[in-house]
Parts: sequence; structure tokens; C-alpha cells
Amino acid sequence: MTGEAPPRQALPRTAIASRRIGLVRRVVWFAPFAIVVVGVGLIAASAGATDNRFAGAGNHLRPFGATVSQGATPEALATQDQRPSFRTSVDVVRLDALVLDGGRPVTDLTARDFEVLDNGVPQRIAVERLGDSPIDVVLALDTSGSVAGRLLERLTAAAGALVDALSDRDRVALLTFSHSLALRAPLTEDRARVRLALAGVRAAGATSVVDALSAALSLSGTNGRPTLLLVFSDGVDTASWLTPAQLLDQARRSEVVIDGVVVGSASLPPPGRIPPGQSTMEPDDSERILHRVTAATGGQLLDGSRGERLSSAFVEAVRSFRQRYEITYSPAGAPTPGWHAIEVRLKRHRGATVRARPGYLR
Amino acid sequence: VVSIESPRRTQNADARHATPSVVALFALLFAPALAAAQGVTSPYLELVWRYRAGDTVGALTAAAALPTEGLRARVLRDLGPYLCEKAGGVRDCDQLRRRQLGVYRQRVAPLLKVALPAAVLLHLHASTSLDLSGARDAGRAHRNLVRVLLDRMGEIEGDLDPADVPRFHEQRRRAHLLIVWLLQSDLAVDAIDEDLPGLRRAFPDDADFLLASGWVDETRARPMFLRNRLSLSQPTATVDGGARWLDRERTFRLTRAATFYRQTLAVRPSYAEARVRLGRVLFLQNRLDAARSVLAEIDASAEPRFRYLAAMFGAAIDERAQRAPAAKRGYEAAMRLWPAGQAARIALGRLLARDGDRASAAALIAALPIEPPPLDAAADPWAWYYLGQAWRIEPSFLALRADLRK
Repeated sequence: MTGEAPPRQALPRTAIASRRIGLVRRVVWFAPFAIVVVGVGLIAASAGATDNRFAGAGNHLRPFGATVSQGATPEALATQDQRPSFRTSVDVVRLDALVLDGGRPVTDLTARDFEVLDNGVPQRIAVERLGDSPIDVVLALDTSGSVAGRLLERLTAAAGALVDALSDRDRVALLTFSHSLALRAPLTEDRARVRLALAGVRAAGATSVVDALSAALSLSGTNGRPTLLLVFSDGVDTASWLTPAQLLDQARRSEVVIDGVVVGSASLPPPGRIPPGQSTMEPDDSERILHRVTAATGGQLLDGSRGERLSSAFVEAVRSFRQRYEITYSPAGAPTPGWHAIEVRLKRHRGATVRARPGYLR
Repeated sequence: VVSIESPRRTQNADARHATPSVVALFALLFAPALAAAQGVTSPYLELVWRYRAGDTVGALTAAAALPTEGLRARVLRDLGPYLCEKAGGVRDCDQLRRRQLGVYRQRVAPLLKVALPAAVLLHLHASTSLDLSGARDAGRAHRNLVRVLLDRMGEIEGDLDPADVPRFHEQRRRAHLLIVWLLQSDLAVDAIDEDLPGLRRAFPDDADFLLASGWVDETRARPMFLRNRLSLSQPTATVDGGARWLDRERTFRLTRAATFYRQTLAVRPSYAEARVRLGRVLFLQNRLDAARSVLAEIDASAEPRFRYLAAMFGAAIDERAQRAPAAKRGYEAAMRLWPAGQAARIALGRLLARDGDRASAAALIAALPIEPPPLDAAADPWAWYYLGQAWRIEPSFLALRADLRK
């Protein structure tokens, strides 16, 4: 059985003819069944409301939210650990939505409970809770000079607590920023490596939070996993090359959820003093970039107080991310390029609120 | 500063105050004998006779003409208050003080021409060392002390031997520049702005001080500085929340910065740093074609850091002009010019991700270093940009020290 395969021999013409006849017979025999199956599928698709992410929206809806182009087969995506990288496409839109009722997450919803409008046009959606699915977490930590001392100790302890809160299949990356960036650990399941990297973190220099978030976004979302980008900062940007407007543009094209944990002067009140668009300075206003970028990605801004609540804030960010629903749809009736406003409504749970990104750029 | 003296010290001071009277009487009574015995020259006798005649101003003039510095200083110190008291007029007392100061300056100027630059150097060194060790407040204190010392250097320049003046003047200029750059590293815009008008007068048509002046206005046009000034200058709420004021102030600052940079280039056309900064200011004013032509004049002979920045700003101009392929090429060129430059890598990664090439974008970011590079000579020039010419501090300090040791 371990020998070489025997050489092929030419078949006689009669044998070929009889094989072709057999093939035709099989096609004729299975045709009615195939028609019935396709018909049922189309009916299910037109009904719209379904939990089956492979029905209704076609095969391009991949498991666990990988963003793929038309033509990528489910078989190619079946093995999560061997997911290939795909170019971003808005053929499929993904939202990671958190539903809160009285401040508590609502976790028993299905696709029937949601209504999603893309530029005002209702969409056919697939919904799945993230739950224990593997996720990626990118930690972007401010290590500028103002963090040095007790705050840095609390910060590394908080990052360690976050690493402990992840499951074995989750991956985490560690990016630190001051006047420059350092990728101390790429996305990895090796938690010991991340803890070791945390132990070596020192604080000095200026703050380039905009550049750091852009780099983290560029790093994220290449394998289709749901990704949380958790950024910590204690001050305003003083050294970035990119502008806040460029970062917002990038965030609006990304599916990554950005949560922020802030202390000190970064925890300024949300924008409001100067109405948007009235000043040419507004696009360069970096003071409140964390408020804006978290809102633009459906994330949240958590208060780390003076550092004593950092650990609980970090763990809370991961915990609430896992309570999210992954909503996917293939945009229908809204093909125009540019900004697409997304509205997520709940058919039941009238008092509940949905936290999801308010739109996307294509 | 309040000095508290003990009663004993006060008594001692009174005793010292009494001494001049005794010395003066002794001098007046035995002046001819002293003159004969010690060979004291005629100005001393002149002093005595003037004093006897009640001509206090004449006596002071004679005292100032005494032959040796030690004698002159001692007589003025000892007899000065007594003569002043006798003169009984404020004007005479002021004259006396001025003469005393003149004597003092003439006496100490030769000493100060060495001591002051040395003290400046010492405190500059302390300031930079403390900054590096994280004790920035202490570093600032030393910087302020240097500013005082530099004022003293300016005061004694006229008392020096004319042959010493050019070198001393240049040392003072370089020390002033170092202080300006140290203040830039601290983003202490207000402090620099206090010094620069005087420096531009003391060192007219100096390209470095003109460039620093441009930096002040370029920095004041940054959003964070504008917002601070807005909260200070407009404490009450305005209809538009200060938006119009912000626009006006930003326009004013950028225009002034561009003017200073142009003046710098008029003095020193080959000043690549001024050209890069002028290009950026024009870009911020949305004058893209003008910015592009200014940056295009930075050729291969310029230092790599300025060629890198010129490539970066050129790419930013292309981005704003919606020319993404050209912008990508610009950032790639910048990466070749300064491989450790992170800004180019991040900017290119963003463009690639925007165009859907996430794998290439991620690969660019994955090549970031594991440890953050220090802010040294090899660091990304963009990391230094907001800090003006602070990147020059270390080599300039070493050069100044070497010059003083000669």
C-alpha cells in the first residue's frame, strides 16, 4: 500500500460511452432534489430573519465575522486557526454591537430582535453573540513621561489583569507609545511573552496617541477575528505625525472596536464648546480625539480615575466586548461610496440601548 | 528673598560702618606724611584737598583717578558713604554709586570675561543633565540662572578689552542659542518669547534667532497652544465659542512664522531647516503649490534629516491634493532616507490600509522596534520637529565647552 500508484491505462471507447451515460442518468435523477433545495434556500433568504449566517445573505458571510470578498468559500474559512488574510471589502459589513438595559448587557437576543438600516435602507442581517469565540485584543499604552512612577506600576498591573482575563484561544498584542512607538509583542497567544514585555516597560517622552492608534488599526483585523483595541492615555497628543481627522477616517473604515481608558487631562469632557465645522482648527483638535474615535467605532471611554481603577477598567473593557453581538450583512440598496450611516434598532426591549459604530466609510 | 540677620551681625555691620570715619580722619590728618612715606601719588592728595574744601564731587573724581585698583576701590568703599553723607544730595549719592559701580566693573570685568561663560557652561550642563534624569523643575531653575548670567555678560561686554570682545560676543551668542534650544525642548514658548526681541536687537540679522522666532509663532499656531490662549484671552463665553478668534489667531501666527522663516532664508539662503519649516507653514496655510516649490529647493546636499522631512511634507501635500499614489511614493522615499523614521512607516501603513491592502499595512507596523528608540541623534527627525532645534543641543554644548577650554 505504500508503493507507487499504478500507471494509467487507456480506456476502451465503449467504456467511456457507458460512463457518460451513467453520469447523465445521475444528473437527471438528482435534478429535482437540487431544484427543491435551491428553492427552499431562496425562500429562506427572502424571509430575511434567520440566525443561520450562511443562509439569506449568501456564502460570503463567513463564520466569526471574517471580512471577505465575494467568492471566498465557507470551506476556506472553516478552520479558524488557518484563516487566511483577505483584503478589506465592504461587500460584508460587520458590527460589534453591545445592548444594554439599565446598564446591564442583554445577552439573549437573536437576529429577529434587531433591525439594521444602512443609509436608511433595511438590511438582511446575521447575528451571533461573541461569547467565548476567540478574539484579538490590541493594547496601546501611553508610556510618556507623565506616566512614570506609581501610575506606570498600576498600568502594567492592569494590563497583566487583562491578559489573565483572556481565554487560551484569544490573542493579544502590546504596543506602547511616547514620542515613538514600540511593538513589544505582536498578536500572540503566548501570554508569558506579553507579561515579560510588560515588565520591561519604562515611561519617558511625549505623547503620540494618534499615531499609535493608527498603527494599531493597521495591525488589526487582518485575520477576521473580532478585535478590541484598548488604548490607555493620560494626556493630549503632542507629537503625532497624523492628524485626528486622518485617524478618524481610518477608524471609520475599520471594523475594530476602540475602547479607551483615560486618567488625568485626557478625561476631558466630550467635545461641545466649538461646534464642528465652524473652525478650521476643528480637524486638528487632538484634545478630545479619544472621545471621538471611541464613539466612531462603537466603543466606550472608561474612567481610570487617578490610576486606582485601571485594572477594573481594563477587565471591564474585555468583559463587555465579549457581551457584544456580531451583526453582519451584505449592503443592499446602498451601494454609493462615501459615508454610510448605520442605525441599529431593537424590535423588543424598548428601554434598551445599542452601542455600535454609527457608520462606515467605503 | 528675605535675609534675616542676627543682632550680633547687625552690631558688626554698625562697627564696620563706623570704620570709614576713623580711616577718613586718619587719612585727612596724616595725609602728607602718608604721601611721603608710601609714595602715594598726587590724586590721593587731590582727594584730600578737595574733601577739605567741601568739594565732594571733586573728591570723588579724584578717588576714581587713584592709580591702583585696590586703592581706588578701598577709598571709594570706605570714604564713599561718608562723602555721600557730607554731600547731602541725592544726586551726588547717585553719582557716587555710579562711580562705585564703574570701578567695580572695571575691576571685575577681566575676571568675569572668563568666569561668566564658565558659570553659564556649568549651569547649562547641570540643566541638561537634570532634564535627562527626569528632574525637569531643577533643570528649569538652572536654565533661568543661565539667562541671568547671560544678561550680566551683555552688561560687561563694553568694559572688556576691545580685542576680547568678538570672541566673548560669539560665546554669548552661542550660550543664548543653547538656552533658546533648551527652552524649546521644554516647549517654554513664553520664556523664549520674552528673550527673543532683545536677542534680535543684540544680534541683528542672525539667522538662528530669526529661525527661533519663526518656531515660536509656528508653535503658537498649534491647536493645543491656541486653546490655552483662548481660555486665557476670552474668559467669557462667546457666540461662536471662540472659533473666529481661533481662526484669526492661527492665521496671524502662521503668517508671522512664514515671515520670520523668509527673513532667515534672506540672511542665510542655504539654511535647509528654515526651508523645511517654511514649506510646512505654507502647507498649513493650504498654499500647496508654494509649499511644494519651497520644499523642492532642498537638494541632495542638504542633511538627510531635512531631506527626510521634505519628503514627508511633500507626501502630506500629495495626500491633501488627493494624489494617493504620489503620497505613497513620497513616504517610501522618506523611509529610504531615514530607515528608523517611524512617522513615514505609520503614514504609509494608514494609506495602505485605507486602500484595502491590510496585509502590507500590518507588515509595515510589525516591523516597529520592540523597545522604543531613544530621542537621540538617530531618532526620527519628526520626533524632534516640534522641539525646534533642540536636536542641536548636545553637539553645540560640546563645541562651546571646547572653545572655552582653549
